[in-house]
Order: sequence, then structure tokens, then C-alpha cells
Amino acid sequence: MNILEVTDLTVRFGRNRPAVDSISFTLGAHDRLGIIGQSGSGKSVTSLAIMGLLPEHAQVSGSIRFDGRELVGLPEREYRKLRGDAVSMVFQEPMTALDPTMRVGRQLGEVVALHHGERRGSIRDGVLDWLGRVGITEPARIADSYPHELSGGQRQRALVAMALANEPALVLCDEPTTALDVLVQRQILRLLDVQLRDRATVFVSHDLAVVREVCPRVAVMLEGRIVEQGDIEQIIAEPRHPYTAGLIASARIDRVPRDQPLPSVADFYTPAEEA
Amino acid sequence: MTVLRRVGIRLAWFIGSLALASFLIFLITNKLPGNIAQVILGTNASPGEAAALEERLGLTKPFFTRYLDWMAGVLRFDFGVSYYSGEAINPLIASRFEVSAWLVGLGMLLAVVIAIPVGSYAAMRRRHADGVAVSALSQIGLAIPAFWAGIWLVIVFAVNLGWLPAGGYVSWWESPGEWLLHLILPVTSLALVQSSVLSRYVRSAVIDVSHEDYFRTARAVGWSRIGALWRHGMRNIAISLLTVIGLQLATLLVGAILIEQVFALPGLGSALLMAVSRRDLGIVQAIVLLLVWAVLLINFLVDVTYQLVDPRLRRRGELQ
Amino acid sequence: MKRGTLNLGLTLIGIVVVLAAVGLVWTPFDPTKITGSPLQPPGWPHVLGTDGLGADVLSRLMSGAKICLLVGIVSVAGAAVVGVPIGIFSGMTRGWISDLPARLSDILYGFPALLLAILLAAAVGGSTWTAMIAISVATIPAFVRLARAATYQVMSHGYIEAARVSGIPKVAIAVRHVLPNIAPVLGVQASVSFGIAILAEAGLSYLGLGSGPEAPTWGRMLREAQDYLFNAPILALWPGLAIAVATMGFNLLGDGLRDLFDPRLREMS
Repeated sequence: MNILEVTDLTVRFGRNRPAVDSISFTLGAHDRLGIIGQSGSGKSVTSLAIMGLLPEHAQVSGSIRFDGRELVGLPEREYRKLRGDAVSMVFQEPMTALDPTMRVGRQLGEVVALHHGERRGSIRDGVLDWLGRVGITEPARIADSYPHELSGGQRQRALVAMALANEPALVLCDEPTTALDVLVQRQILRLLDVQLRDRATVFVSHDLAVVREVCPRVAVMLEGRIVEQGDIEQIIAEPRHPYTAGLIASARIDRVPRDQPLPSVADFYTPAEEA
Repeated sequence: MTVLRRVGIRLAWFIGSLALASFLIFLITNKLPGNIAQVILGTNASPGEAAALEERLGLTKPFFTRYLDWMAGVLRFDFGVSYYSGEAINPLIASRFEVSAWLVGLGMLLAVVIAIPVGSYAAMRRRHADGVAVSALSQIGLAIPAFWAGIWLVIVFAVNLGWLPAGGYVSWWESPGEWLLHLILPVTSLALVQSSVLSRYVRSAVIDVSHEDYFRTARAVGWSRIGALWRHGMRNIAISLLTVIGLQLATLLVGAILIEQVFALPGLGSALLMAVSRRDLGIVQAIVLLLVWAVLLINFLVDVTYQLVDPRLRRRGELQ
Repeated sequence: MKRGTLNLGLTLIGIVVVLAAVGLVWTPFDPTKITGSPLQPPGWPHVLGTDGLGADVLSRLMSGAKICLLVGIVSVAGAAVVGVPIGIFSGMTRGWISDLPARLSDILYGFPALLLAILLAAAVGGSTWTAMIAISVATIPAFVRLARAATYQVMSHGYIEAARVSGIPKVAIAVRHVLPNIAPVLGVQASVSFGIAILAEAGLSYLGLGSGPEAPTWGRMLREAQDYLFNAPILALWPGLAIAVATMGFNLLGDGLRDLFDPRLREMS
């Protein structure tokens, strides 16, 4: 049984070309799907559409079924109950995604209290427990700190804890490691790999190498459309779309001989308007 | 400690500005053309009478000595005597201060209570007709003099409906009910106009904050738009909003002079105007000094609070 | 939409300017003379009626428009002439001397126009002149601060650096490069200050501290109207409306100009 079924999803802003153009994919209860594409390809809009957090003036058509329930057109009141509880999201800006004026522990505890309204004491225990589970070494101290007192990695861990605190069935990760340095990036990926084991995950990134580490399946997005999707190793071995081939070549700069120019996506694929 | 140093420098400037402001006031009231004694006695007084009065008021001493005498008195909370009646100024100021303080304090409070929800609403609904209408309304409020609003409140609620008194003041100690009834219209007229200034500020601050990443995070964990705004938006707006409220308090202090005139309230403003019409420069000096110092003090406190707040928390508080 | 703000502002200002311009050469009646029976309702020949003494309200309104614009122009221009050079100088120099004008402006901020005018009125008697001087002095700090901040920004541009290195005198740089670049912001400020000046003048003449009885102003008309709130509340309508229209005109003009000059804001809308 699929936990998420996206069918012919289209998102438009005003009269412009659709930001997301009739895309379809499905996700089993423990599946992970990577969505890869450059900025403006519609990958982030897709995840915001699933969260129901698109700006007011966005027009959405098609279908998003979550756990058998249609999300497109779901009343805000109902949607609110899902967000942060059954469906949650890890954002890419650890520096700014936390409220700078509120202690980290309180922001985390709030997520649980909002949906389950437990007593204060048990929330505090839960907060420390979650901070420990995402690999924060001094949970009590971090819980009482303000975001600016934390490192980028610690903040991202806190954000992961906030996303997982209510044991969601589906987690959307929007470039969760992009703003971090390479070492921290590794750690966070490993953390996500462990923590997302029993859930369905959509993992949005522009970085093929990152997606490959956590997702067995990938969808490649270009100008709002999914140009190909399937097993990630198979796609890397035999890309069918020239854009995918470009992505793969530009991700493997270690294989480029010293005196050759670095490959770029443009060597393989030129957008239609420019061709 | 750089913060302490910055506050120290500001404190020094603040004290310097108090001194300079007091000197300017004294200079204007004492050095500009116009013989004080002649003014008090009227043009048909004899030179002899004028000289005698000058002697009595201490006006024959050198200018600087008189300024220092005045300052020495003020620093001991002694504002001297009225040139007109010869009575001490202190009791007058003490009794008038209460009225002005209630008017300004309640006026600002009501303005804030109106402005926060109205400004937030205008921000949240800015793409809809009702949000735009609220913005337009605040634009109109910005152009209306508070005293004109006051006059119309009198016409409607005092003259036509007869619900509230058209003017005057009853002290809280005499009758709390009457006190409230007499303050409703003056406070409302001050607050209505003030709230349009503030609500425009709240609107733009709320729009900014709703574009912040942490606002989106709050929405993603399940807060409604209003919930996220209340829980996370307002905390972040608070510091810059407090700054604006502080600066607006100074405007209100002066605006209250006009409102006191409309509603015949016995506050500092009406005492000041009475003194101006009698050319009672002792009282004019004293009240203007108090008001100017109050404005400078408010600005100083706002500035220092701002310096003391952690810079990483103020972020979008950068004004002007 | 944004152009609409500008146009609406210009229209409102236009109404006031036409009132004032016509009033300069012709008013239906002599605004300072009693020309009919008192407290006539709007009608003919007194289009907006007569006041408590029997003077024609429309004529007085027109005469008030003249004074309102005069006070606005003189005080804003005066403040700009004093404040802008100080601000540019302070923005072009570094060190304590650069901070001094800003600090002194802070002190002037402590003297709102109304207080300053009251002080002057107490010392030398209130008149149109004391009102203009007070409003003008109280407006200076806004121009100093703005000109200083804008100059700072302009000074970081490459071509100013180039001009400085090539030995062009400071005054020439200020006039040729800095002033044209900061003119748009100053224009916006002038418009906003104009609106504030109108409100200040209205307040002053309402308190009887502005122009004398020979020159009817909107504020004075409101003060007089207050004696007839029971019999003729409509007298409190016209002058207040005129103040609101004039102030809103300049506020909207300021907003419109800001949108016009600030492409970043335009994109956001």
C-alpha cells in the first residue's frame, strides 16, 4: 500500500509557465525517493505543495493522496493537524529556520505540545530524549540555548528533531545539508539515514552525490516536469535523458583528466528556448 | 566591554543634550527682543515701575548667572515662581502632570491595542480587498489632525448623543467613574490617529516576518498563520515595535497639548498655553523644559534598550 | 496600482493648489470681512455658508490654502537649505566632526515644532513667521540625517572614489555627483515633511499661535468652529477636511515617489 500517491500534480503562479507540470510519483510506507534538479526546476515547489504551504496565489491541480486521503483542496483546519504530525519537513536553512528569540528546547517541545498537548514535564523529557537521538551530546544545555548559540550542525540536528518529534509517517527533506560544510553534511546524512529508516521520505536536492547516499530511487526534474525516474544506480549507469547525463558527468569531476575542461550540464543538454 | 562603552558614550551625550536643550530654552525666553517686565506690566507702565519689577524678579543679574541659578533650582526640583502671580510653580506642575500622564499613557496603550491586530490583519490579508481597505483607512488616519478627530468625537458623542462629557476633568480620587468618562473621548482621539501610524508599522513588520524562514518552519510544524504570527512573529517584531512606540511617545506628548485644548483638560499643555497668553515666562520655561527633557529621556532610553539587546536578536530592528 | 498612489496624491495637492491660486487673485467675498448674516448653511451666494460672525467660509478656506502652502513651502525649503549641506558634509567626512551634526540633530529632535513655536510665541508673540521658523527648525534634523545616510551610500560608489583620486575638489564632488544621486530620496523626504508641516501649522493656528486674525487659517477656523458645535457643527467639517486632503496629498505623493525611485520595492509589489 502506498503512503503517498502524486498524480498529475500541476502548480501555477499567475499566468506563468507552470512551476510544476503534471508530475506523478508514488511512495511506499518505507520508501525513499530523491528528487533532483537545479533551482527553479520545481522540486521545492513540489515539496511545499505536499505540505500545503504554497503561497495563497498558487493554483494547484491534480491529486496528492496521503495515506488514502486527498490533500489537494483539503481544508486548512484539517491540513494543520497533519503538518508536523503525520507529515513533516526538514528545511535547508539551519541558520534562519529556527526562531532566533526562543530557546531551542521550547521550540522543539512546542511541536509535540501543539499536536498532543502533553504535560510540561513529560515534554521536557521528550525534548531531551529527541535531542539525544539526533546526536546532540549535551541535550540539557542545548535545549536551554538560543539558536545563535549553536553551530550550524547542531541547529540542523535540532531541526531534524523537530521534524521527527511526532513520529511522522512521511518526511520531506528540502536540501537538508546544502548549507553545511562537507564534514557536517556527512554526519547529518548518516543521521537522516538512520532516523528515516521506518518512514517514507522525499529527499529534494540539487546534489546527485548526496541523493545517492540516502535514496535508492530518484526522479529527475527539469522545468517543472519529471524527465526520468527509477533506480538510482541504473539511471547513473544508463541515463536516458541528456540532462541527466549532464548531471552525472558534472558530479564526477574526479574522473576528469587534469588538462580537460570541467564538464557541465550545458555540454549535454541545452534548454529548448536557447537551442 | 564594548556594550558598556557604547552606553557610556550615549549617557554622556544624553547629559550634554539635556544641558544644551535647557540652555537653548533659557536663551529663547530671555534673550529674544521683548522686555519681560514691560511685557508683564503692559505698555503704559512707567520705566520706574519696570525697573522695580526687574529688580524683584532678579532680571538685573547677568544672563549666565541667571541661567545657572535657574538650573540649580531645577536640579533641586524647584522651578521658581510665576512672573504673573508670584506663586511657586512646583505645585502647579505637580497637579497638572497627572492629567497629561494619564492622557498620554492611556492614549498610547489604546493605540497599541488597536494597532497590533489591525496592522496584522492588513498584512495577512494584503492580497485581498479587505486588507487593502484597512491599509487605505490607516492612510487617511495619518492625514487627520488628532484635534479634528477630537472635535468630531465631541460633536457625535457629547453634542448629539449626549453619552459622554464634552470636556473637563475629574480626578480619579474624587470619582473613578467620572474620571473614566471624562478621559474616554480625549484618549480615543489621541489613540485613533496614533494607531494608524503604528498599524502601518505593524503591517510592514508582519509582512517582513512572514517571509522569514522560521515563520515557515512554524507553519510546517502545524501552526496556523495566526498561531505562527502570535507565537513566533510577535516575539521577533517586539523589539523594533517597542522602539517605534518609544519614539512615537514623544510625538504623543506634544499632540496631547492640542487635545487638552479641545477637551479643556487641566494638563501641562493647557497650563503652558495659559502661561503663553499671560507672557508668564517662568512657567513657560519650566513646562517646555520638562517636555523637552521627557522627549530626550525617552529617546535615550529607547536607544540604550536597543544597544543592550543582543545584536543577533535585534536583526530586523534597524530603523531609519 | 503604484502609479495610482502618485496620481491620487498629485490630484489632492492639485485641489489645494487650485484653491490657493484662485484665492490669490479672487475670492467670492472678502475673507476677513463680515459679508452676510452669521451661521448661514451652505447655499447661495455663500456656497459653504458663513461662520459665527458672518464671514464667507469658502473665501476663508481659499485664503487658508494660501497660508498652508506658503508655510509648507517656506519651512520645508528652509529646512532643506540648512539641513542638506550639513548632511552631505557630514556624510563625506569621517571622524568625530562627521558625527557632530547627527548628535546635534538628536537634540533638535527633542524640540518638536509645536513646542518650539510655543516657546517663540511666548518670547516674541505668535505670527505666521514664528510658525514657519519653528516648523522649519524642527524639520532640519530629518534632512540632516537622511542626507548624511544617503551620502554615505553614494560615497562607496566607484566613480566617486575615482573623482576623489583625480583631485576634484570636495565641493564639486558634492554638487556634481552626490547631490544628483541623493536628490530622489530628498524629494520623498520633502514631500513627507510637507505633510507634517501642514499638520503642525494647523495645530499651531488652532492654538492661536500662528497667523493673526487678519489671515484666516484652517486651524484658526477650526478653533472658531468649536464655539458653535451645537448650532453649526458643519463649520468644523470644511477646514478639517482641507487639512486632511492637503496632508494626505503630500503623504501619497511621498509614497508614490518612493515606489517610483526604489526599483527593489517595485519588484516586491
